[in-house]
This record gives sequence, structure tokens and C-alpha cells, in this order.
Amino acid sequence: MIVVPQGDAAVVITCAAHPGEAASARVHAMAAAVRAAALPGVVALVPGYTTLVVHFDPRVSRTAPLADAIAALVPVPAPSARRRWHIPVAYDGEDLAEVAAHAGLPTEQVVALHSAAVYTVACLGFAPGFAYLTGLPAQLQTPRRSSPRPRIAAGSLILGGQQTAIMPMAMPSGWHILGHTHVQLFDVTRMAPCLLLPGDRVQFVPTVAEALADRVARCEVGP
Amino acid sequence: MTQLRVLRAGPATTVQDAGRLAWQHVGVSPAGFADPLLAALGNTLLGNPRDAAVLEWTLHGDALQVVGGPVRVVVAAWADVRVDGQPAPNFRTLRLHDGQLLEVEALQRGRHGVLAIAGGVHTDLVLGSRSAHVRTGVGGHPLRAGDTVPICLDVHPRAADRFLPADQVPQPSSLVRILPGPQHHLFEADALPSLLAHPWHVRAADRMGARLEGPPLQLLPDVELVSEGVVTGALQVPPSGQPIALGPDRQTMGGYAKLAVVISADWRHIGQWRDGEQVQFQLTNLVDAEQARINADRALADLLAAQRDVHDILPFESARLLHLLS
Repeated sequence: MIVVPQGDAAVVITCAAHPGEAASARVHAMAAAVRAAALPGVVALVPGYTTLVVHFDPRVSRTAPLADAIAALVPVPAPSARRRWHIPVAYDGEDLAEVAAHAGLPTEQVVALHSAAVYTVACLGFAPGFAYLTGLPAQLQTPRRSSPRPRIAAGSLILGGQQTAIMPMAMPSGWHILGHTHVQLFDVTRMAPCLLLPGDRVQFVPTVAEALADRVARCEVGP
Repeated sequence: MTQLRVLRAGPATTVQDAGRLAWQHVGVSPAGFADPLLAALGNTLLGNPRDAAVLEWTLHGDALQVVGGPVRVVVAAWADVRVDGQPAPNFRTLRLHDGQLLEVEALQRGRHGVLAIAGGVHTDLVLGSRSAHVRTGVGGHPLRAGDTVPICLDVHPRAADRFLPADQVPQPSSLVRILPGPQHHLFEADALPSLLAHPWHVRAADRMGARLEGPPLQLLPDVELVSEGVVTGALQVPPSGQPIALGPDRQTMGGYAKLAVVISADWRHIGQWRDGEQVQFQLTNLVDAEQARINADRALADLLAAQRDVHDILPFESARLLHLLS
């Protein structure tokens, strides 16, 4: 574990050399430890793929003592129970054919592969509730569009490079659109505004577009 | 309840406070004041808490009409101000009555200016903050003509009018201090010296950040990067080699290497850079950055102490008032 400053109001804790399931587990175990330690001045914890960034108020704390306190912490492993989400999606996106052509597969096969995979939430970023999912089958990996779209709709199921995601709100994006869902990933009026959290498993359930409005994201909790 | 009705809106007037820092782990940008110093000055002149919600102007002010009132406000901006068509001072309490019109023209210095209002702006709190994040709409959107801005109750309506001598307001600076960033070692050896040696043109600045133009800064070949949390002030370098200095509306994570980070005492300057301006970086170290932070806080405390009741400089008027009271 290496702790380095990012300016005078944050430190970066590197928990692993390469991204992956083990790296994510270590990052989130470290986040749990920092949260539990209630270190003075800490205002935000941002888990990434291999790092945890600790933001602090520079009027309250200083880098060196904070970094020392962090280095002395013992990571707190997450409980083994995980949430497994089943998110209804209509695979009717305008780039489905392009992704299929790139993969050299019929579109039905793209849908079958994409919806059979079990994804893991590595971290959240880019936009409120935007979950970076790992686990995209290698055959479906497609370079991002050469020119990003200035706006894609909220609920778009998208794919870019080695990653897939749902767009929580209308935003610019260079990723390919595979389909859409009515499930709201972020809603400030909910008790927990953010639907998907790090470590959650996610599967997409192919659904006809007309039925989406009636379907919620189901969730199981288990080992 | 007192309101301000927007008759004419500037290009990007938003409600801002200190931002929603604590939700970054789920991708929520902090947003918040582009220039916290101006907000602190405006708010404290009125007796508000330093971080009370204000209107923050970008490049140009608004035309606002008071509904209800009276209301005390301070224009903390370098701009021409008029009340009902008559010139009015900035950095000084203005008392506005029902129906009065406050007009604030183009900002003559910097990119952002502040309208502080006694009691503070009273829009809904979203995740603990009233700050509008323009790109996602969390907390609201830029004001448009026809909008009304609700104002909290003024708890000190009879407070003395106060002002800060304009020459004491710290100016925005095009020179900012930086620390080496967490990925500085992944750049070619000449990248950091090149960042320091050259002036950089601000190509496009908004609340998310300022895109800078200059000699390309090169990453070492075959560097593999993964997204991680970023801070305000980080100088991210995309493959073009042209850095972006991150502002308060930045994303929470970024995948680009960070060559350097602007120290927190100098963040306000990023929010004041204008397109076309030339800016420059100066290397410092963590100890000096921490001292700069302390100095900046002390300077602000001195500025708050330098605020004067208006009657301090109007002996004639206050003498007359005393005469009337006796």
C-alpha cells in the first residue's frame, strides 16, 4: 500500500498494481477502514479501480500526519454477502448492429452474450450513479466511437472499450448504445440515491421495450 | 417570502454554496463556488455565514427585480452596478425594496462574480447543498429570464450597512502554484520543466475546468492508466498533451495522468481565468503549500476585519443621526 499526495487536500492510496476483482476488494476494504477510523478533516472517499482517494479539508488536517494515520490502518474486508441485480433492458439501441458487425456476430448472439455475463461494479464516477462494470465478454469489446455524441438519453445501455454501463442521466458520450432501461440509477429522493454500489453483481434481462415501464430492478442478496 | 425575479439572465448564472463534497464516491461532482473568496466577502459583509448560498455570475450579471423585500445584498464582483438605473457601488451593502431593479453588467475582471443576499438563497437542498451542477442538473440549472430566486429570512434586517474598500479585494491571479502530481513520474523528463517554463493560453474555461494550450506535454511510451479519483486543481493531461486544470464542476474520477496539482490556496484563480488569458505555473512544495493555505486564511480574516460600517466614513451623516436621536 502506497500513500502519495494529490495536491495539499487529498492523498491517493494505491491498493493494487492492476485492476480486477482482487484489486477492487482491497480498495473497498481500505475505504471501509478509513471510514471507520473517522480521521479528522476527511470530507470524501473516492474508490477507483486500484486506488482510494481521500479528500480532506486542508484547514483541518495536513498531508503527512493523515498519510501516516492511513498507513497504520488495517483494511476491513467486506462481508461475503453480495447484491445481485437483475436489470430489465430492451436491446434496441442504434449501435447494436455496429457492435455486432465489429464482433462478427449476429445481433442475437451479441444480446445473448451481453445478457448472459455477470458484471461486477468496480467503482462509480463520470456522473452521479454511473457504475463502471467489469466482466464484459472479450468478443463484445468494441473501441469507442470516433466522434462522441453530444447527448445520449438517460437509461441508455452503453458499451465502450472493455466496459459496459447504464447512463444515469442525459450526458455526452462516445460509447455505443446497445439498448435502454427505465430503471433509475440515481434518484436523490430515494433513501439510498445510488442504485448500484461497488461490489454489486449486475445482470441484464432482455425485455421487450413495451414492458419496461412495468419492470423494476430485482435484487438477491447472497454469497 | 422575498424573491428575486430574473428579468434578464447572464450566460450562466447559478446558485452556489460550498458544494456537496461527500457524495463523490457515487459519482456526484462537488460543484460549489468558483471563487469562494468573493462569496465569503459578500456573505460576511451581510452577516451571513461565509458559505451561505449565493448567485454566481459567469462573465455577465443579470437584471433582477425584488419581489417582497426589503432585501440587503452585496455585489462581490468587478462590474458596473445599477439600482433603478442609478449607479451603485460593489462590495457594499445595498438595500433594495419591493419592485426595485438591480442590474449588473459585464464582469470587467475575472470570470465569476457573486451576488450575496442577506439570509442566503433558499432553493432546495439537494444532497446537503444548493449548488447547481450545470452538466448533470443536480441542484438546479442556470437561471433564465422569468425564474424567481427565493431568499431565506434576513435575521439581521437592521444591521449596519457595510463595505470593503475595493482596493483591498484580492485580485484574481494568472500565476498559480503547483505541486507535482501523483503521475508526474510517468511523463517525459522535460514535461514538468516545460509546464513551468512556458506561459499557457486558456483556450476554453468553464466550471468543469480550464483547457490550456502550449507545448505538448508527453507521457512516457506504453504507460497504462486506470481511472482514479481527482481533485479540484489537478492538471490532467489527455493524449493531446494539452493540460486541463480542473474546477469545482469536475468529474469525481478521471483516466488521464495528472502531471501537477494547483495548491488549494490558489484554486479560486482557476475559476477566474478567461479564455485567451495567459497563465503561468510556479513549483512549490507541500510545506510551503500548507503555509500558503494558512496565509490565505489569515488574509481572509484580515479582510473580514477590514470591513467597515458605512457610517464610519460618513461622519456628517452619523452626526446628523445622533443629533436626531438626542
